[in-house]
Amino acid sequence: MSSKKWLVAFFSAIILAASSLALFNVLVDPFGVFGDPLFDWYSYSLTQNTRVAKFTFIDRNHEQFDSYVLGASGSSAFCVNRLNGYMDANFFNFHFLGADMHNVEDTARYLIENFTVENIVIGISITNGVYFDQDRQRENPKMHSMHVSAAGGSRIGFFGRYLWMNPQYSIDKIVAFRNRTYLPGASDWFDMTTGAFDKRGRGAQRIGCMEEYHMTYPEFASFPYYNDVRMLQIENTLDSLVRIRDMCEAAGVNLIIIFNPLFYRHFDYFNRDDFNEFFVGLADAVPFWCFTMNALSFDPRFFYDPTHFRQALGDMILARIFDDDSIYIPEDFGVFVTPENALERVLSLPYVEPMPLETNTVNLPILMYHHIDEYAANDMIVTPETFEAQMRALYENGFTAITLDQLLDFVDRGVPLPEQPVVITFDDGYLSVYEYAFPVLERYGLNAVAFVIGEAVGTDTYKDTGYPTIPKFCFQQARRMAGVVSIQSHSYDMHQAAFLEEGRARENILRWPDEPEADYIAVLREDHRRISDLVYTELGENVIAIAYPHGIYDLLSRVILLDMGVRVTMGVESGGNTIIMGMPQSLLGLNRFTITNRTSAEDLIAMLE
Amino acid sequence: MNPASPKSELLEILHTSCPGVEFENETALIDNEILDSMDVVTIVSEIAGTFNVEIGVEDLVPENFNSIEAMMNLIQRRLN
Amino acid sequence: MPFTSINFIFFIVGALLFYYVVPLRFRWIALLLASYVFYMVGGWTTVFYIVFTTVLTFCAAQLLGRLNTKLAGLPGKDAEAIRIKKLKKYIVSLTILICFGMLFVLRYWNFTLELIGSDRWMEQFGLNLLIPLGVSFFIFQSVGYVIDVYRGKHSPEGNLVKYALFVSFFPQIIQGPISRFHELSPQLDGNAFDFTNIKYGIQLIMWGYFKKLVIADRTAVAVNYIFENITIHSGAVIAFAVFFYCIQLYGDFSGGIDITRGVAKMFGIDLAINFRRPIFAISLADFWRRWHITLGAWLKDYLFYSMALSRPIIRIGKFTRRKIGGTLGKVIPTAICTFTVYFLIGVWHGANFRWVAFGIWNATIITSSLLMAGNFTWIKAKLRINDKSKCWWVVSIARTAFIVFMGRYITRSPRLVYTLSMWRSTFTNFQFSTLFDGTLLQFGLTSLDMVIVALGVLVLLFIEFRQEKGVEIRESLAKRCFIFQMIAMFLLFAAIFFFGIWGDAEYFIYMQF
Repeated sequence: MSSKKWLVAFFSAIILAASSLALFNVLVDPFGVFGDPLFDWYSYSLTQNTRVAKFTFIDRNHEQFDSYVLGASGSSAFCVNRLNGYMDANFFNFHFLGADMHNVEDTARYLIENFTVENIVIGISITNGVYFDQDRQRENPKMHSMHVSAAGGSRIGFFGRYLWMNPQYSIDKIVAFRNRTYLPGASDWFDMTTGAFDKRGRGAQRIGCMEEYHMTYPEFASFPYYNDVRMLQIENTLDSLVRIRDMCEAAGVNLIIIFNPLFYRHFDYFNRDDFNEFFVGLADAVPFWCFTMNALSFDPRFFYDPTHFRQALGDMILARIFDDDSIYIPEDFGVFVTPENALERVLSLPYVEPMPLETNTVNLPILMYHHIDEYAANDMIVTPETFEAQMRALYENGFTAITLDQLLDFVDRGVPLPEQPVVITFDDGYLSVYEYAFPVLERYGLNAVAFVIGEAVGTDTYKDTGYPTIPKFCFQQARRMAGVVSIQSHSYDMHQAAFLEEGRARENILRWPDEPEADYIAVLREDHRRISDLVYTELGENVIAIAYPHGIYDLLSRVILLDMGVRVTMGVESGGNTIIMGMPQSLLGLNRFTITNRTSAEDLIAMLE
Repeated sequence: MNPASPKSELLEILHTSCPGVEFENETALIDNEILDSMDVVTIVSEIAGTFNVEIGVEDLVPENFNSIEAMMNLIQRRLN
Repeated sequence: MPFTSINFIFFIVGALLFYYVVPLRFRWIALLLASYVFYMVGGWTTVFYIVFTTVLTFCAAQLLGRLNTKLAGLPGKDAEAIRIKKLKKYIVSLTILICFGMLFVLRYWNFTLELIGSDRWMEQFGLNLLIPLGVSFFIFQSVGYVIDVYRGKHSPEGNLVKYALFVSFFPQIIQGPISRFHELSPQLDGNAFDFTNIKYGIQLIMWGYFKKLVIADRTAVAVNYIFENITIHSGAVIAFAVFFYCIQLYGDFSGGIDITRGVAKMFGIDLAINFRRPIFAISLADFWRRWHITLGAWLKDYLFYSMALSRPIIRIGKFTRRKIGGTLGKVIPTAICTFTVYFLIGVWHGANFRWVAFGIWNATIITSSLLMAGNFTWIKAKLRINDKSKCWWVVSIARTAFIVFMGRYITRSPRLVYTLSMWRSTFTNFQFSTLFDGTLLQFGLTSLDMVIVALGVLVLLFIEFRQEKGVEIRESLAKRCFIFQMIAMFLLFAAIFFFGIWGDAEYFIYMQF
């Protein structure tokens, strides 16, 4: 073979390899640069690089939107659905991870120049004074640089980078696609309908007492107090912000600037003089809403890490700006800052008082009963006499058995609960609740919740087996209890007895280990839809609470149930609960005290106090 | 003066400096790496001492050390 | 511009096109332009050094050349001749002093300060200079040229611009080899286009990339990871890391040289061989004749010989022979030179104590083998070992490999003091089981990576074994049938493409931590 022939073959191989690599990378498109033709999985691309795929996405979907949220990850907590409601607009959350004002300016310019824009909401963080134009310093331009359409630069370089990148990026995406789950995973945590983080998992985590929270998130306690960190990018950031303001003015765009809330130690982390300069300069540039330090800045439970606040706080911010009184907001929460009040405001920030814990939290014990019978064969059964004595003790010691609505009003709208609140619950929906408990509760003016198994309501045998079970009350009886006993879910039919089922039993609401995720989700949804429909049609009551069969649950089941409107979930762990105003997550995975026939009235009171 | 011929003297030097090498029939002592630079240096300093000649660095090229004949030629040249 | 960057490849393609587009007699100018562009891309502020070195050594050689001509016409003992000889000596010494002084300041000034003084010295006199690309290579090369002219080995180059190309020829600026004027210069005048040169060049480059990207860069991952925190590992893991480091070093360095030589080959230029299968070395001295050959040869020709034949050393030699006598007396002068050479080889690689110690380690072993050569012969005779046998060959190779392997403990340890504890744990706390219980898979390499390294090394050994047997790989490949050649090319290409650590592959490996 001549050398010439060899060279022809060699260069053909090079061209072949280069073009197949490019084709592969275009088709799989892990960064969403080429429109993700095969997978249509923007959540993955955004997780790889938030700064790129959002532009590809918006190029294709900009007709659906007329307003944008910009900023770093803090801006993700500004819920676009709420904004849409408040402003009658169609928002898309265009935040980037760690975006500095340079990124924000490039994005704003791109949006205003190319599309119709009505509103822009920018979340500003204290770190905007520290970082500016960071992208160039980051290691891997593929993963950290902005889309060329907004950032400028060589288009050939930009697309070439993604065309001929290492195929491993694409291979990783294919692997991740095969392993993807319903919940946001390590490789996809964006919600492409809103552009924000997919917070379903994070929003389904139980938040309770402070000690428990510090155990789960030790970084709050270890976050340094005062580091005197200088803020050296104030000038650049403010100049950039002025350009954004002028751009918006020229285009008739409504601009809302929000100074994000900070965990107090993060606020203390920076040089105070620099911060003051930044704050006053910011007000001179453009008036803004300041939530920087507020009464909740001292409560780590409103932050998921020391530099990021939770959705709950984001909702309060929007409610404050748009005067929404259906949501709880602490007093003195948020101030609109103009050059006139900027100095006064910034000087007052170090003196903001923390929210006293007794004002916005309440300890809520929950009692768990099952069956009431003359003959207490086991601990799960309480005799009528004991029950009567226990209820009388509650009454006489000044406890108020509250309803779930009262509980929700407290959390959602800040309506105070009566002194010494307690929740009484009955699992399984036995007839004895109607026969014995209901009259007693009525007598002492106590409210209760009965968690019924939808399929078993009004039966005394196990399904069609004829196998006798403890009789359950029927909806007729449930209607008679209305106003005293609220009927909620103990699943429709996911509390099965294994020895009575022909097929594989659903003993709890968890997924079978070998079950395809999608099948399970369908099963759980169907089960919950059936009990919700049943309770609603029979009693006109919305199912907002579930007591997990056997008290067993996991994140996936919780996310699915929350998605379907459940607000309160209860397990069987013994212990009290801390309920927090403005924190819906404090209603999840509640503990309950198991009350047995041996629990004397004194024991009960001691337990609750 | 020692009656031994210069060649046998050289052989004597070579055998004590580098035992185990068959110098007599080898014509590529350097090129085949039978002698390395240290051997060369040892041999040169022995030659210089025995024959009382001055061998310079510029003489240290393979051609001058590949065989006994080459070395003899070098010594002859320097003696003159 | 590192070898592995895509820009390097684009640069080569551009330079080649430029070179072969211009007429034959201007090609050397094209190559000079390409070389200076390459050099300036690496940092245009340092271009001064190479220009200065070029002009200085050019002028010195011119002067020496003129004096040589004058000297040739004079009788040996003439007073004028002695004066000229002296003058020549001054010129060559001054040139060497300036060149190496520059190299010393650029590369070793801070190290020396560290050596003799405290941090305070460092603060006051420490220099923060940008080290020019390939400064050691072009200085060694041009100084070698001046010494050659001084010794009358060849006449000086008359054209400064042509000489500038010899100094700056770009492929060798990155990693060497150190070329000799009489070997390289005739090839630089401009070469006609030849498909075979291009093919051979590409083949050599691919082979270089294979060694570098598939083998070396992969082993580097585990090596870096383990040495990050060397004290916590078992002796077996440390030995494994050093073993991998040996592979990495060879793959990286010899791969780089192959790429360099391949690039030069495409310009029709054959650069000196720098590695000759060091794995088959039968002694440490033999190893150094196979590893970084051009550096060793340079030091041998211009330093070792000059030193060994210099008056002080000869005087010392006479003295030790008389006073000490025996083998020791003979070896001492050579040993002084040997230690100097290996000390320089050490610091040539890096300005720190580890490399100094590494040089001393090598010199000590080589000197002691000289000292004990007689004893070895005696032992071998007693044990009836036939040192021409295959078996002894294998034993020698294994012994040399072991010595080299132990030496690598010195250079790769994070600090010199760790070397001892690494040696100790290898010998006293080996923990054999850690080699097989999956520990080795915790350092960033998967079992697939291990298989790739193992296969890569096997291929490497196979090819080098064939070369050691005298087979010219590319020539013999060209005689094979079309299909065979195509398969060979595709396999190598595919290996680099799929298993090479190129682009962001490193990132993916580091992500596993």
